[in-house]
Amino acid sequence: MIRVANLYLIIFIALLLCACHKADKNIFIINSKVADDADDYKLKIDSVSIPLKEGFDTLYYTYTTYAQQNQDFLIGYNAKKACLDIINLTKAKCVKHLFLNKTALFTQKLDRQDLDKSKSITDITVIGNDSILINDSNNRLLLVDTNLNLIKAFDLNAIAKNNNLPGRVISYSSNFRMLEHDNKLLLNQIYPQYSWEKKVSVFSALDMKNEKLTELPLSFSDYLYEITGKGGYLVNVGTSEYQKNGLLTYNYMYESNIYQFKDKDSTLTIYGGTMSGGSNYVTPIEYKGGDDLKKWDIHNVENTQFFNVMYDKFRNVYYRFSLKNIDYKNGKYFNSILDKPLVLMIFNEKFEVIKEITLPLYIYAPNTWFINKQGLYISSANKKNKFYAPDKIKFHIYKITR
Amino acid sequence: MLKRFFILSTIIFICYSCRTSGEQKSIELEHINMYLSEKHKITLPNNNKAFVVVISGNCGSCTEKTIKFLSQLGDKSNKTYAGYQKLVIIPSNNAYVIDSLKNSDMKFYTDEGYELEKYGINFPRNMFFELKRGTLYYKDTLYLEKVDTIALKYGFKI
Repeated sequence: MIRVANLYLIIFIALLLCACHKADKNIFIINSKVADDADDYKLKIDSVSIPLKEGFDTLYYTYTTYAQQNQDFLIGYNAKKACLDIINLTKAKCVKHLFLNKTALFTQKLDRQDLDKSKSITDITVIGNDSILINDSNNRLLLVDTNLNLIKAFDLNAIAKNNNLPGRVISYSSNFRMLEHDNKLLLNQIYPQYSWEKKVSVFSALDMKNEKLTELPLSFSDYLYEITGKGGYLVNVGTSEYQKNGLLTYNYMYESNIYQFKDKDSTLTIYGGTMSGGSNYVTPIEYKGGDDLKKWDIHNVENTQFFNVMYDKFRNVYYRFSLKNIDYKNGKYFNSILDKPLVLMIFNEKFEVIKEITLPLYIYAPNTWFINKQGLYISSANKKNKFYAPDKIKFHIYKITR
Repeated sequence: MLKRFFILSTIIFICYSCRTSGEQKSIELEHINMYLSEKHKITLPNNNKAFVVVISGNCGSCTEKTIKFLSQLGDKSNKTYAGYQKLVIIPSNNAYVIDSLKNSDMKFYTDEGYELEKYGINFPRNMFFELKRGTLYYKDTLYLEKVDTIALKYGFKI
C-alpha cells in the first residue's frame, strides 16, 4: 500500500517538474549562442564630459547623430526651450540652438515638460548631408535645413488617408525610429484595432518624393500573436538608425529574438538573443476596461524589455541593451523601472554573443545611446546618479576591440 | 433560531457596509503615509480632515484646469475648507506647478530623489484624496473632465 503511495508521489513530482519546465520554456524564443572567439574581444571604457552652454540640457530622450567633415554631432530635442540643440561630440562643445517656436513652422504650443507626446517632437533624423527630418507629434514630418528653413512638409494623417491605410504611421526616438532605408523612410504602421487572428504589417516605407506608402511584409512576431497582443506597455517594435547596408535589423521590446530582413531577396532571418539571466519574453497581462493602469506599470517592472539593435559599422558588431526583470515588491518598499539592471549585449555579425555585461545601477539613462567612430556612447545622466553634474553632458564610451 | 441569527447577521453586515462606504482603509494612503513620514518627517492627519493630491510624473498630468482647481481649493480667503490640511506631493519634473500655487495654503512636498515609486506611489494620473478623521473618504483621478466633476463636488466652477 505504502509502495503504491510512494509511486504515486514520485509520478506526481515528476509531472510537476515537467510542468514547471514547460512553463519556463517558450518555443518562440531562440537561444543565443556564444561566439567561439568571444574571448578575443576586449572592452575599454572612456568618457567624455561636455560643458554646457546656457539652455543646453544634460539629457536628450529624442535625438539623432550625424557626421560632417570628419566630426560627429548630436542633435537633441530640448523640450524646455522648444529647440533642437546641436552638440559637437568631436570637439566636446555645444554648438547652437535651433528654436522651433521662433519659426512659422510651429504655431501649436509644444509641451515644455515633454510629457504630452501629442504636443512634442517624437523623433528626429538626418537625411542626406544637411537636412533634418523632424517628427512633430506624429502628425507631420518637417524636412528642414540646418537653419530650420522648410524644405518639405508631410502631413502624416493625409498620407495615411491617401494611401488607404486602416491606421496611421508613426515613429518614436525611443523605440521605432524613423530611418532611411532603400531610398525610402521607414515608419511604424499602427492600427486602431488588432484582431490577432491575421498578421498585419507593422512597417511602412514612405517614398518621400510621391508620398506613396508601401507595406513591408513584416508583422509582430509569432509570440505576440500567441499571447494575442497582451504584452502591456512592451508591445513595441524596435528599429535603429544604425543599420548595415542592404539589411534591416529590428526587434520587439517584448522578446529577445532579433530579426533581420534582407532587401535583395526579401528573406527574414530570426536570431536568438537570449540573456543568460532574467526572462527573455514578456508574460501576458490581461487588461479589462476600468482596470487600474498601475497593473501595467508593475508588469513593466516585472518584465524584461529589449531595446533596439544597433549596428556599429566601425567595428562590425551589433549592440543591444535590455532592462532585466525584477520583482515589484522589495521588502516593505517597491522597485521601479529605475531599479532594473541595464544589460548590454554585444553580438558579432552572425549574432553570436561576444559580450554580455550587466552595467552598474543608477549610472546610465536608458535609451540615450548612439554610435560613432569613437565607440558606443551611453549617457550617464541616470536620474539617481550621485555624480550627476547639472552643468555637463556626460557620456561613457564603450570601445570594443579584437 | 437560525432565522433570527440570519436576520441579525444581515443587519450587522448592512450597518458595517454603510459605515465603511464613506470611510475606507486605503493601501494608497498607507504608502503615501510611509513616504511622508520617512522622507518628509510628517504623517497624514490622524483625526483631522485633509486633501491630499499626488501629481503624477506622467503624460499631460498638469493641465491648466488642474492648476486652476488646486488654486481655488487652496485659496486662503475661502473659509469652506479652512479646517482641512492640504498636501500636494509632486515629482521634481513637474515642480513648476508650485510656482502657479505660491500664494495658496497648500503644503508642497517635492520628490527630489525620485523616491515616490520606492514607496509604491506611482499613479498614471494625478490623484485626489479626501480624508476625514484620518481615513479615506473620497478619491478620484484628477484628469480631463474628472477635474470639472471633482471641482463641482467641492463647489468650484472651472
